Amino acid sequence: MSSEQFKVLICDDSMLVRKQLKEIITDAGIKTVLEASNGQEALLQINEHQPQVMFLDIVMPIMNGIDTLKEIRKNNIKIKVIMISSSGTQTHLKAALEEGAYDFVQKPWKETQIITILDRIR
Amino acid sequence: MFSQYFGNYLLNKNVVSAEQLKKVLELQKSVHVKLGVLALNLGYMNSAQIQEVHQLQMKVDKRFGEIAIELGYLNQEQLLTLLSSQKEGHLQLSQALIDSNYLNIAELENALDNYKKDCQLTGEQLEILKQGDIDKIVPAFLDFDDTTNSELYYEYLSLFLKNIIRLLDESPYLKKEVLPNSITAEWLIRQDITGKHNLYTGIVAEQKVFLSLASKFAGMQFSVMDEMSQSSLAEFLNVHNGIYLVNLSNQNIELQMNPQEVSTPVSIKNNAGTYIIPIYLSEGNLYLIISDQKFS
Repeated sequence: MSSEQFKVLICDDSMLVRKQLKEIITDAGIKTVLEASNGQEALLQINEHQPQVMFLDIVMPIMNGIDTLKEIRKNNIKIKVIMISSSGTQTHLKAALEEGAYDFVQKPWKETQIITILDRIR
Repeated sequence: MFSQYFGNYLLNKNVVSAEQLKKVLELQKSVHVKLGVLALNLGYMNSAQIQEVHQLQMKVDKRFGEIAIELGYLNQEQLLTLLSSQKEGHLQLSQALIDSNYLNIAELENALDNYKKDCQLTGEQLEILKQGDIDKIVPAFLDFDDTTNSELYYEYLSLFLKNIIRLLDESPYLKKEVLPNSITAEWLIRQDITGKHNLYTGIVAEQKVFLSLASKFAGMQFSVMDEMSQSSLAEFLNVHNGIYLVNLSNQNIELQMNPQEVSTPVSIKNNAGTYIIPIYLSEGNLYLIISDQKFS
């Protein structure tokens, strides 16, 4: 898939996290990086733009990451979801795994972790 | 760790100026700790005996240890202990103070004695501080024993200090003091942790301190408390709380946290079960709020 077709969605309520992740992903050569600040916004972005990959925070207002993941599975949406959260508790890890998350990155992340995951997917 | 505590004590007591402290904190990284400072630290010799040996060294071509043994101030075993402990980090500041001529050995002895007394530290607590073990330092400085969640509070504060070092590249220190009864501030960053134990957490600081911390965490410069700088502070608290929850999860205690909130302005009272903890940083104070009830 060409870099023009490849789309990544970042869903995190932190403006700083979205900015930092976007910089890393853009520097990795991905041109289309979408943003959402909660699960509800993310589902709208997915519906409209069909990104192939999503970095998804867990603790967010309005709709959290685990509920968002459940909605994605329920609607059979084809997207690789990488959970990216400070809260990698056993409960969250188990829930993310059960709902089919592709990977789990514990905050604070390292740039190389994000690049490695993107390289593996592309 | 000890350097930060003792150095700031010397600054507050006007023993050294801010400029001098900055210089010795830098110098201590390359300083070679000499036997006199080591002997004083371990209580093998007092400052008068050390000065006597130093003066004799100017007259005779002998090493410090040789003279001290000849005078009966040290035995062989003690000398070996001193030589093997020359690499201990907490003494670097003492040696740097002496090398810079800001203090002589007698003044250093006096300052260490006063520090121990003023901070109401026992000999054992002073040793813990010198060893730099944060988990042990916290209970030496703060008493959470009147709350049912005391163990959680100790663990929370220890981790918070470690995360300030790790994520903000700061050297935080605590003081043995009566905690403030209340605090009013322009900004409060808060996050609630709920589950089997409820823990309401927050951070408060003057704008200048918050901007400095937000800049360090984000790796970008902030001069106003805009949405991005608030986001940086909120994310710092979120990352810290997340790591805390993971640590508890590894002990089979599963708690959840709510999204962070930014409030302004705020007034918080130190009710039973609510702790307002001043944490001293290079730019000023950061106040950590931990409570078992909602505090604003």
